[in-house]
Amino acid sequence: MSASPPVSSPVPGRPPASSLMWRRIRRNPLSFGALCVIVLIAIAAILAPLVAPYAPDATHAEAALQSLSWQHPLGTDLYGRDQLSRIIFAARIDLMVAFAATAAAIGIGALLGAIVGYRSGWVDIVAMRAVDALMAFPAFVLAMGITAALGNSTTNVAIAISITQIPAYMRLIRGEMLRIREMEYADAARTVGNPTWRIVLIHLLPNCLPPLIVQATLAMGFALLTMASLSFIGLGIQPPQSEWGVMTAEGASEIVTGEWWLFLFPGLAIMITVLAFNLVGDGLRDFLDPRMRGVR
Amino acid sequence: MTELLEISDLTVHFQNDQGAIEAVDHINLTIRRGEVVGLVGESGSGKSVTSFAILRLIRPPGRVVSGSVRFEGADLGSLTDEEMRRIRGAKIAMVSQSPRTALNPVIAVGRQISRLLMLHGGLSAREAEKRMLEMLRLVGIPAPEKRARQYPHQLSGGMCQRVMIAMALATSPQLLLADEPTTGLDVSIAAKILDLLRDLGAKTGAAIMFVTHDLGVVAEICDRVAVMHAGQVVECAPVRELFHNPAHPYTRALVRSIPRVDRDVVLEPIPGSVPSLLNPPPGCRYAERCEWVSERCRASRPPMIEAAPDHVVACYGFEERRGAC
Repeated sequence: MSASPPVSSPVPGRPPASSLMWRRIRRNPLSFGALCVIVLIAIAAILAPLVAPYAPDATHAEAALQSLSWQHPLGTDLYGRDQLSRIIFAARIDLMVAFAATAAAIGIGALLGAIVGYRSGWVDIVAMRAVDALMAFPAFVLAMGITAALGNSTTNVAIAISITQIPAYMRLIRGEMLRIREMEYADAARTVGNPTWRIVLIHLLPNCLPPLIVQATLAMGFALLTMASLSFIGLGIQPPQSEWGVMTAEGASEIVTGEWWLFLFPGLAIMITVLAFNLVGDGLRDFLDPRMRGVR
Repeated sequence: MTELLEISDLTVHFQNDQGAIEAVDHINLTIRRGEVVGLVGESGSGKSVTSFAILRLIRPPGRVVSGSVRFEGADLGSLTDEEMRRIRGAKIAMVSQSPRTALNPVIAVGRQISRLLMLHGGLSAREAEKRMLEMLRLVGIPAPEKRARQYPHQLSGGMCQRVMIAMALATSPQLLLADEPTTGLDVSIAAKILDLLRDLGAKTGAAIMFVTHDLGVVAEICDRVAVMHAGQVVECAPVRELFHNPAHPYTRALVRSIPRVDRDVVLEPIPGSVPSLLNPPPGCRYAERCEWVSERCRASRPPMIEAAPDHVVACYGFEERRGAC
């Protein structure tokens, strides 16, 4: 049996361009599945109060450390809190911080990259050496250092993660800008008397974005992993906040006494989400790569 | 007619590790109001560089070494960047040689025009939109409302060039720099674009500097022609005069190399190619290819002399032979 899902006839009335896109999306079932997973997690996170069976912080001392059951599908922790509910609520903060950090990193990185790429000269040299210095630091160690320096708060974790990501975006967009600014439409934008900021932001930057979309998707997974790792080692988000990294850390201490579910499921949540983002990123790269178009 | 643009002694160098490439060397050229001036020459003769120099858009490693460009009496070199920016696109517009790549691929073509109008004309979004559709209609784009919403890759090359022309003329500039606007277009489309440029030029009163390597196009559209060779203007004359009495040996060779259907003549290629512009010798840059070359030509650069009224040429050989006949 083939791995691809059965092909149904296109929806009647759908314009041809989008049906083509639809076909190209379905050509990559793995990435499409991953996208569905992300959408599902996002919906669950948004509707957390409705879909979660219990409040995330509600303790039930009589039901502490219960294994999987119909009442508590993923078991309960030391305080009798329902683990499924906590994982669902944790998705909110995990996705939000990953998203905010990535968005901020893209905004700042793309802007700085576009400026130094367009300007070049000494501004470019200085900025790129700073980027080199930042990138020479292991990203996680950098994030640890920044969080430790700024203090443990959700905002500071987001700031730390986005600082570790800015250099990559800067370098990416700078490289694109070096190419794009030599294009004829860049000359054309100059010959009609656009101010420099308009040339950079309105005419050239949008042309640099396609590779960024792929990078951003992959970076979402990385941001999430960094955040969970930070809270696992006790930096950033603190208990009793339900967060996947915090929960994994708490669960790890119970592992010797046999409550395996407390460690496993938050860890799985991290793994599945990160994997899904990476698969979507891979799929997008194929999807956006013109050389891959028309294959098959 | 009065002088609209006056280029005097303009020199542009491109610096590289081996020295300076003298892409444009002491050229003089005037364009009068409403006039169509052809700037003709082989590839690499400095035609496009001249247009960019007029707009003050030569970027490093290029550099304007000397000379001035006066537009409507004002020295463009002495304007501030901001004043210069207000002239680009508003008073001096440019149509580039590859319409497809000169339009921004991620902005709908109509928007590219209306944004320009908002930038320079101070029009509101609605007025700009109206004027944009008017311009698209004027350049002969069918169904402009539909086309305006499309992106450059959805239009044909000829269509893109029409959009470029509409954009260039939207702000009613006094001078249009047309840099080989028909390169890469089908002959029939090219002819239409030429007609369009000439008509619109006449209608709006814009002067056109028409950069091309195609003498056929020049004969079709220009009032006056300046012939460039290796970064220098070697001859400048009204179009009929130039074709009937070419004075410079390079012009004569160019005219002889036009294929003719009505006469059985053997086409003569011009020997050699444009000389290297990297640290060129002091004399005439055409000397190595010239049939009239003498010692004098290699020693010093021939000055511009008047061959006939409104017809100037830079050639020692012509000067000597004129006396003879």
